Amino acid sequence: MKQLRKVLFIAALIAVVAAGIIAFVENQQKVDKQFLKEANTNLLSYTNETSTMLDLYLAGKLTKPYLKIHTGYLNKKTLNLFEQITTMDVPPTYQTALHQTEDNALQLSQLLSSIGTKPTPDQIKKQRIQLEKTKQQLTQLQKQYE
Amino acid sequence: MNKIFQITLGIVTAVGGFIDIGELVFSVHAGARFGFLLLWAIIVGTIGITIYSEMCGRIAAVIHKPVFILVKQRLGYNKALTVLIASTALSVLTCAAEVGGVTIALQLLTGIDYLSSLVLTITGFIVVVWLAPFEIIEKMFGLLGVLMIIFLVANVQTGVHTQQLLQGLTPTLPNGNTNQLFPYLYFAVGIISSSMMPYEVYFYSSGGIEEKWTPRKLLDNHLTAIIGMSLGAILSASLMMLGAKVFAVYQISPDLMETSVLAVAAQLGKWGAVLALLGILFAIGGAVIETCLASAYNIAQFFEWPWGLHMKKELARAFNITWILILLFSFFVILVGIDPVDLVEYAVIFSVIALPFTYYPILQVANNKNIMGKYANGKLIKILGWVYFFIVCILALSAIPLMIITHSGKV
Repeated sequence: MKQLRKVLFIAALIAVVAAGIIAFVENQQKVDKQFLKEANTNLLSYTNETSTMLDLYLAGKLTKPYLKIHTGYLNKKTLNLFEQITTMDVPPTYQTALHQTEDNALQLSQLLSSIGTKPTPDQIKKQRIQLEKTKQQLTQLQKQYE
Repeated sequence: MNKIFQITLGIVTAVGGFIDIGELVFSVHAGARFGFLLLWAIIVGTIGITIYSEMCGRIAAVIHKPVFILVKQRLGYNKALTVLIASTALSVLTCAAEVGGVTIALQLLTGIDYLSSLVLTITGFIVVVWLAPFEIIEKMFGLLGVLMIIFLVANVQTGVHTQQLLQGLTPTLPNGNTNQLFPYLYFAVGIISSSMMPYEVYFYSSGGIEEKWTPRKLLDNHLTAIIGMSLGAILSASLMMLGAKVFAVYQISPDLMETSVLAVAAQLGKWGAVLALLGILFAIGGAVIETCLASAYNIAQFFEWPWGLHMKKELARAFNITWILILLFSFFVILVGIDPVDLVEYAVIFSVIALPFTYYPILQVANNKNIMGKYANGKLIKILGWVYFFIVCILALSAIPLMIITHSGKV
């Protein structure tokens, strides 16, 4: 009887610890997914903001200093996000998504750098097309996280 | 005629001085995320700051005592010292965030690099506060801050959405979606707190003493508090509505302070954007001076040093050194590259904890007929004062848990 109690106690303990570990891993995955979703949403927002800014600049509604300086700050935000993504340790199921988000962040950052250095109308029109592609990729990726 | 001009000038100054970086960040962001649904929070915050500003202005005019002297008298030395440390730390952080905002606005206007802009900003503030009399500083930044009215113009240009506007004035959950409950509450707390930051009443009451208010100034005080702050709230609401009409549509989360300018540029073009930047520069510039002087006033009043910009510089040496040190500290905080928007979010949320300790002594004195005589609070103001004290206590208890649960509103 005493032994049975011991066995039951140990079994219960193992079950509690196992449940704890499973809950932790699941929660971690949820956090990873949540973070990737947040990162992707932010990138999409920066892409939309950059597109809007370029459209306004081409329409003569924004000054050059604003375009250059604001682009710099958006790039800083994008790079911060990129660094956070690269240092993130995610389970294999999210590896592909992580790399895609990473690529998009890098693409956007390079684009923002080139806008900051060469804000000529022709260049901006090309960058605007490129931004549209990045936006489509990000929107596609966003669906995976929903 | 001169009296009417003086009152109008006071009101206009209050309108221009209403917006700071905290209001700019929380209002536009809330609009982009929840549309018009948090307009009620602006109303709640505005009524609160109007009631308490009027009270502390009245106290300054009648018994000539600023808020921090009341805090010390009512709470005792030890508790008041704790409030002093907490409120100074938060006001200094807010000051640093405002300095960061001015630095960015100046950069966007001129195209100069970050360091030059920061050095120019700090030097400019030290020179202005050192040389100009209190009234000139207050009026200059307040009047030029009225350029923020361009956000209202842009808002009108996008069309009036009466039904949404009315819906926003009553607290409603976003589409009945309970997942959004905590972020919605976090933004509500942020909006109410950014309107009721403790530094605002510290500065307002010490300013009343700088300007040597007497009971004859009470009409100016009533009108400035009521009309000035109400009109200021319209600017704040315009920021939220623009956020809803422009950024929500384009799926932009306005994480940067200057993003709000894009909404004006879209409606009014290049010159609209330039005026918006100038408005931000002076409105936030006014807040730099308010936060930095409010901290210096509190420290000087607590340690019973001679204080005030009206005094000869050599007589108020410790006070003058204090505000210069606060500006220099802000310079170094921004120099290391801390994002002013992140900084102000933390400052606004943590400031909520100091709100009950700031507002309680004001309410106690303003209610007391033995101290205030015939100028003590009437029945209605007494009730409203207690209702708002209860509200700030709830805000103080809920702000940090909400910040943690929502990852500062990002979830």
